[in-house]
Amino acid sequence: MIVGRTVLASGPIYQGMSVDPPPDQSVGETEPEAVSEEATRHEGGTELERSIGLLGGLSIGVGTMIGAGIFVFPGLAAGRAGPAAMASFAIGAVIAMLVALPTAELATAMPRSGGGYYFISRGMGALYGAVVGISLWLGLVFASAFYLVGLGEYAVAALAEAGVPIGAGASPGASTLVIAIGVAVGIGLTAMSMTGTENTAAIQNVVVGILMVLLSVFLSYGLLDAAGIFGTETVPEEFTPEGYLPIFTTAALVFTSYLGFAQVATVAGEITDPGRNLPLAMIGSVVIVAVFYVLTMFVATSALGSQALEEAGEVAIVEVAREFFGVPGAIIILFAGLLATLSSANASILSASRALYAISRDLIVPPGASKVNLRYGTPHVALALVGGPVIVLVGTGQTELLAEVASFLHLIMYGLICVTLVVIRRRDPSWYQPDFTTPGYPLVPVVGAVSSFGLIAFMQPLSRIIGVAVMIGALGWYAYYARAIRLKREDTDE
Amino acid sequence: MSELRHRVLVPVDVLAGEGVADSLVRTLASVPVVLLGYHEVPEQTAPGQARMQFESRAQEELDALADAFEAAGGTVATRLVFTREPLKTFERIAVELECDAIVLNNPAPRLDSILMPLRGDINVKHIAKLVGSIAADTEASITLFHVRPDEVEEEGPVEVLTEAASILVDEGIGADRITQEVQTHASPSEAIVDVAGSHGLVVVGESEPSIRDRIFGDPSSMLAKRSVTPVLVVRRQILEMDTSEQEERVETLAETADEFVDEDDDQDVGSGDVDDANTSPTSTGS
Repeated sequence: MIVGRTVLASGPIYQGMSVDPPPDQSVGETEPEAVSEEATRHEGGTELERSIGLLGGLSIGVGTMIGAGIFVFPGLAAGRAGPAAMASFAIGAVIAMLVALPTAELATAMPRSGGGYYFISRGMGALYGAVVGISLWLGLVFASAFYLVGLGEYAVAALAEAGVPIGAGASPGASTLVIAIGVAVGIGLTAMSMTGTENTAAIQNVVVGILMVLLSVFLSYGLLDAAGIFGTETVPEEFTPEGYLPIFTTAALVFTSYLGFAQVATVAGEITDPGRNLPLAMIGSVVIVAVFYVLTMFVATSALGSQALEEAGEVAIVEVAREFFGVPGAIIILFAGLLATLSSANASILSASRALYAISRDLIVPPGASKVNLRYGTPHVALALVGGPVIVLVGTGQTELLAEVASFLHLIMYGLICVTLVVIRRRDPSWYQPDFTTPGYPLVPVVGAVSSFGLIAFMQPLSRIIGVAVMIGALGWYAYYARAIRLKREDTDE
Repeated sequence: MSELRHRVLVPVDVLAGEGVADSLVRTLASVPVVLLGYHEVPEQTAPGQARMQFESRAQEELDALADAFEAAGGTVATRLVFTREPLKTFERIAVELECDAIVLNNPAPRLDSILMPLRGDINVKHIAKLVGSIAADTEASITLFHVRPDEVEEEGPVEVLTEAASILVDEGIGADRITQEVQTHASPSEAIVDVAGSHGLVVVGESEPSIRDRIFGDPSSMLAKRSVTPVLVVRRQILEMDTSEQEERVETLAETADEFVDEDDDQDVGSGDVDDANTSPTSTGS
């Protein structure tokens, strides 16, 4: 006979929309009581459903990354490093993998939303957490702006293809239009995220699937072409026309193409069977995009040569498609480029909003920043704090600068993730029970940290200055606002 | 209640102002109910983010609903879940908490009659017993409903309806409360939607392997969407039990009854960092 009922007590959470929590009470999101494959259960019994499977996770990773590496960078990279740009992409892939392995381990031990910020703040303390969290938010803002400028380039190239007279690629009229389109889409995406309940994740999966198929066909043809099966065999140009240094500076530039795997970690709290799916999605998405990137560079430089790619700039890959398949090929790749940059921009905007949520949960920024409105159920404040700066940055139209600053801010986090792994492993707290173990420990995280920080040295001075300025700003904010914050897990040594 | 044979899951979208009709509350008073408060979180929002902001409010709403069930003499356990996919959540909770049936909620104005559409090919035993235990303490009439495809020219009583009626009578439902109705219609689901509106609750069996599959765009969810009547979907697993399985199940329900009441002591949702309860955060900001 069942009598009575369970009363599930509320956890320590905010009672109203903007009521500050009492200072002497636990605040923010509580640590979960239990994590299962399908849900996270919190103190008081409230559960958070996990609903992103392995394919969804891969699609987040690949969908975020592929827009940049294939549809924006080939022309810029070939211009800098010649055919050796494929080595630059390979270097990026190696570094991304060295970071993805430790990230996967930390994520399986702490499958919580917030990704890199969460691991670093729990492993190294609130100071590092604050700097990384704020840098991650702004890093994703820079990345989103970068994708939107790329999108603008594609839109303008598509208009030119359709016969709209807008002048040559580098004319002032065309670049103004690029920025105008980028800004308009940025506003549109932000507004849609604030109000929309439509399922863009499902659309994203389809988009990524379409892109995979299109690119596979394109690259297979290109590889056969380069091997001389169709037409005349291409005479390879010199592999490193600009010497060896540009390989590394180009690697620093194109590293933006590998930022997506850590986005998988930002939704770690929503991934089903995290012990299995998180490592597979992170490592798998890096492997998939790396193969596509290196092959794309090989095919593109074989087909057109670096000179022609450089002249075509951000939409170089369209010219490669035109070389192979004529106008229909160019139109299909233009369309694919629009889709890819749009999906990357959308994913990055959402990730940036997650990053803000993660730091506001720990009160590193005011909790109001991640307020959710009941009408749409969306974090409108966080989205505005992402969309606003994104739109301003799109206004600069500086593709390379935006990409490098985004990479800078991410690389700092990546290096610190590797350091965090070593720190936590050495401290070995009782709660640390990862399902996935980094192979080659401690070599992998040490080399990962060194190469992440090392890649920064090859960036343009201006990118480094802006990156450092953001970090100093974050430090200043921490000193001003968040110094008193103690995060529980950071001092649970033994 | 002599023995516990059934448990019903009632999902409620708590923050959307969804309630449970009083009539439904009274009808479900005779079976243990798991009241699942859920809030659908859009993908722009981390579920934890929604929880942070809405948990207390959702919990209040849920408690108020639970009070209503108790006031009507029912037994209730509550769960609160923030989810991106409500159907996945219903399915998971139904399995975890051993629920036999799930109510697709609708605002029934009054629950004086229960509609039981029955096909010829299903095992009516368990579904009829479940309806019997729900309806036993009420005055509701029960309409056993069968749709004949157009081409079949048949007269007389339908065997499945007669069988269901006799089980209901065994369950203590007066024969005068039971009506048998047979219609001829090309589309059984259309015919059910048509008559559903004049009843307070529709009870259907799940025919797919899972409630979730079943609900996706086919009869039971279509029924819930197209009519204003709540739909009780009986899980397939229950429909297909044989006698020994049913005995086992009654035992399981009795064993889990304590847990059901005090679920904070159990419901080990997995290993994870359970032993880590003392590290719950005390990040104190200023």
